[in-house]
Amino acid sequence: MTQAIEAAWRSDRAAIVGSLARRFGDLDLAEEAVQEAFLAAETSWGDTPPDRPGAWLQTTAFRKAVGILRKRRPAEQLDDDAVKEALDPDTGERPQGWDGDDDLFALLVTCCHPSLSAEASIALTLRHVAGLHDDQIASLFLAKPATITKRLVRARRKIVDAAISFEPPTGDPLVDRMHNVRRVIYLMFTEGYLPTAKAELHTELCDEAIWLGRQLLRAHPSECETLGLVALMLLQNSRAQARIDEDGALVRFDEQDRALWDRDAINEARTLLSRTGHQALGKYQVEAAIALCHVAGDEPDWARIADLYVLLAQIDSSIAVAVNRALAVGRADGAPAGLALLDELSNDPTATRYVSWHACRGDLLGQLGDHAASRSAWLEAAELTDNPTERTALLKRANDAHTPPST
Amino acid sequence: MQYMLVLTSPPTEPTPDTFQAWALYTRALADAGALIDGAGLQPPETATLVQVRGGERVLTDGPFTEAKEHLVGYYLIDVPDLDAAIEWAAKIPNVSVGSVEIRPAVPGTQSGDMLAAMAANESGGA
Repeated sequence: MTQAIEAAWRSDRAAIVGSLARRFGDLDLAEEAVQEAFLAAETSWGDTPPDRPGAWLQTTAFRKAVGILRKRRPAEQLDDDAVKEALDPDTGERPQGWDGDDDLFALLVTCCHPSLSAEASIALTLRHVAGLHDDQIASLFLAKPATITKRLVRARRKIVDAAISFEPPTGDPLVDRMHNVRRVIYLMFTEGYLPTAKAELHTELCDEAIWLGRQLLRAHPSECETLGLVALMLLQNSRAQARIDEDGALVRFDEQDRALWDRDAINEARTLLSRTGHQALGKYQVEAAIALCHVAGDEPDWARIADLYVLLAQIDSSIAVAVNRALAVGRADGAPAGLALLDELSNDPTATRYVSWHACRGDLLGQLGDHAASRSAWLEAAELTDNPTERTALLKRANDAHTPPST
Repeated sequence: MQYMLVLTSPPTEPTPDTFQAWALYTRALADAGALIDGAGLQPPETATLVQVRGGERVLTDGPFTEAKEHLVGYYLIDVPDLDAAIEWAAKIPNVSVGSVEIRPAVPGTQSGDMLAAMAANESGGA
């Protein structure tokens, strides 16, 4: 692939697939036509790509789609409206005023339709919007390519058989649909962010999720929660290099080499968050604000973080938020205050089965100087996790529990 | 596109108010040109299960499966796409206590289409 084609693959491919899927109501046809258009580009561009590569590919893909339909259907059935329109030079090919962002957005919203499972949506989005091949997606999830292919075939079948529209809704339904798009993108990101033995493979998944978040932002630039989501992912990803050591082990936040943090990403996240104007406060914005408080100064601003967790707990009543709030309060107001919040949760079996509840206790008990109790809490946490990298890190904390923590 | 809205719910006692709600919902479907058919069903205790095994007719009293939620009714609707079907499903009068399963119909298997296709074949063959 030449550089120009590679660039077009990234910048224009998904929008063209989206425009064809919308026009013909057929994702398979759209993908096939776009594939043929890129093959045509390889033979005809040479060293001099056209002035507007995206428009060239769009026009070519439209013609290819019509050609495929001609082959598929007998000539007398070619009076199909969509084909007629596509053949009409005034309406069929629209590179002139073509809004690619809008077409990419439509495709993304379809791939993340709430009637599809999250894992189906993630696979569809990576395949059709990000343009990865089935085996690339499989390697990101450490899955067999056949498993991913099967998942994609089933998901595309559901789009066809259940008549999921390629046209995004308007008004309130669109708000719900965008919420689900953000959920899918963030799930994809956290999947990549989880520490695993093959951490280097997974950073790509984080990069794809951030790219998708940016595309969503291009289509709706002032959507506060999308600004929050992209900021949150950038902030978490800014510490990717410092989070894992050469042996693949997790590095504690307070032991990370700050020189390895990506300052550009942190600054970009700060700018994005400032664009929200702190209106219509949502989960991703608050989480991003918390993440920013961790990395903005020389030390985390625990008092502000604790305040933000109060806000987050009103939006998200999950145990994870309650535990993180207890840790922040423990840092801001002293370990006893944090431990008291954890004790309040102890009647909830989901809390006591939760790795972080025990890890947080271990941390705060250590801060208090009760090293024996701290050690057993860390061991309890290590017992509960099924992630080997995390278990190693938790066992290390248990072993270190006899020495006072460095913070 | 035709969809069946399959309604399941825990057992509830019908009241005049609920009848009115169903009637209004049904009329809204009809007014929108989306209604094909629909009915509420008697409770599962009234069910009779029929099987033919080795040429023998086997009848069993009661539903095939024991479940907390039972089939209580259905609508068959015709709308442009899944989003439209979801909108209608979310407005079903008992959706806050039960569930609605949306099942797309297999194109060409709707009874009207099948009968029309058969009639066309028969007249063509004659």
